[in-house]
Amino acid sequence: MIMTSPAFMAKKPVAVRDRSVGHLVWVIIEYLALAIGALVALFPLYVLLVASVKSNAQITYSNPLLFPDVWHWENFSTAWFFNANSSSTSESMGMAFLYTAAITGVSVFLSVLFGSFVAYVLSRFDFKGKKIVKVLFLLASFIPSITIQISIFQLINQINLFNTPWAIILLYSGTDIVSIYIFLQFLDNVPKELDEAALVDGCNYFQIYGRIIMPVLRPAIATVCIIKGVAFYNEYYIPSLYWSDHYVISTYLDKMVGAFRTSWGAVSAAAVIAIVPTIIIFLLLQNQIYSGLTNGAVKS
Amino acid sequence: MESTLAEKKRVKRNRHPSNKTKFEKIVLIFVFLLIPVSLLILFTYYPLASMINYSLYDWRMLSASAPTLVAFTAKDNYLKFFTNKEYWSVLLVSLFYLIGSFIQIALALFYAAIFYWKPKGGKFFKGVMFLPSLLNGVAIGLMFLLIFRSSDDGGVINTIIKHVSGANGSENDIKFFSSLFLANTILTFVSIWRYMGNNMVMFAGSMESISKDLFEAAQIDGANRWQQFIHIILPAIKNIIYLNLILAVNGALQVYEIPMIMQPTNSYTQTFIMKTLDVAFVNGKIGLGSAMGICLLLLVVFIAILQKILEKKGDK
Repeated sequence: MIMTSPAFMAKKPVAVRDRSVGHLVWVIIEYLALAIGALVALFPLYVLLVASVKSNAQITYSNPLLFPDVWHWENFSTAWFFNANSSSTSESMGMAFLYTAAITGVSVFLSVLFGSFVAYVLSRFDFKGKKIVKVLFLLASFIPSITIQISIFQLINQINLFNTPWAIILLYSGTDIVSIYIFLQFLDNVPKELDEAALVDGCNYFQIYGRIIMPVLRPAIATVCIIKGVAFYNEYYIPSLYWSDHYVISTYLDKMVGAFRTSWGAVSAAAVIAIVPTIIIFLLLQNQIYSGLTNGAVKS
Repeated sequence: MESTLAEKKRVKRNRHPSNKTKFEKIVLIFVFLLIPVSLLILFTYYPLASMINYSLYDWRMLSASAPTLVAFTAKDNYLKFFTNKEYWSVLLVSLFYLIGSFIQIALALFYAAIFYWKPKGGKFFKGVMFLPSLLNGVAIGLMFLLIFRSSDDGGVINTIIKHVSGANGSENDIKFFSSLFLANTILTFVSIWRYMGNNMVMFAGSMESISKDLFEAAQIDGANRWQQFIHIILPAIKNIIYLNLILAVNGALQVYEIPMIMQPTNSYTQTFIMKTLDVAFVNGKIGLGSAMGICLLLLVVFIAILQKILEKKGDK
């Protein structure tokens, strides 16, 4: 690699940009495709945004592609203060955000912790059954997680966790092969001699985990936190199945869609509120998300 | 070099007689693996085993509100599934998503290739096209309902049709969800819209890690972008493409969220997973639902084995 580098640098000024007609055609096709892609990606979001500031009459009678003359901001307060739970005093969207944040926070923390445990053990120790542990995690990724809910549901019911948030947390906090691989990729780059030096200095294995492994894993932890956090925040079926008495963001939205069959402005406003946090996370952590996805994919 | 390192290790180990460290090591392995492996067994392998057991008998849930399982006499759930059109015909719906998953991968490759040559504004376009994969599924369902509803409700497309055709009511509406073909085409489109960016980012990432030397040589040879794409990029990221294709095909067999949210009662758009959950939780036929779940699992495993065979053939 180092050998080729001077030659590469010498070549660079010679590499003339292709200005032929063929190149021009390619550039036009390229930007046409990009424009179409972006438009298709953004159009549904635009439609949602437009509907979120319209009254019922405006949604039915005005041009669906244009923002209205009079903006109905009250849709957002209607959405926020809608009581999803008829049997409780008030379960507004703020409450749903709190529940979602608590469940997502606890689950992401536990899942990352357990993932780093498994990765540390797998990367640093040889022991009987190591291969079995690896294979168990790998094979688990083939099992369709939704269909086994049929029997998980019976299990959750037997241990009396049905209709509690703990059922959701318990199901989220296990780790999976993708997280383990992301951690392992980082750990493989850390020389084991570092661990051994620490051992000589009198650290035990638990201290090595805390002082050497955890700091090294920090970027990987951030990546796994984002991937898991977004997935848990958006999950719809698990909360609707196991915690139907109360509402997280997804089930709150779904409940609103059912309850406001005739008032889509407020429902759209609720959906806008629900996706704002993800868009913020995306804008702040774009590169981290991209690299996380790529790292997870290279696992094979 | 390596032998000296190994020697150093040995010396270190000898210097620290290891009964204590060895014990510590065993404790750590046990403590660190205990909870993650227990969770894995408890919530993946034990349910799988009990599902196989359920699938062999006629288990029923007597009421959904206070779910209690009762086993009736053994019945052949698998036979029932394969011989009853009501149950397996939902696989037809999977066909739409299956075709969709190939389109999705092709589009993702196309856009990733565009981004590979770093067009101006590429980062913006990449971000915009990736964004849908982060959005809440219920919100996505809502957006597309807003687009495809009837003009009476202000559905975007039908309202435009109404104005262009000068109709008074909804008589000229396209009834998007009243035909099996149209409804599933739309839902497949939503699925591509949602997940394409995810594949695209993975492809773009793995394209970036291809050694640049290969391209330098190709450019000297006068290879254009299409030739570079076919002869350098595709072979280099072949395995990532396989992986994504398998994930997309598996995803196609396991679709449920968007149709469940957008068309909860439409029988045209009921997918295999929706039917399975319906049979198990709404009808309370845990045995039959489990059998359907096991069939899906076998299909997924079959596809994974197929992928391995394809990969090996490709390597030759």
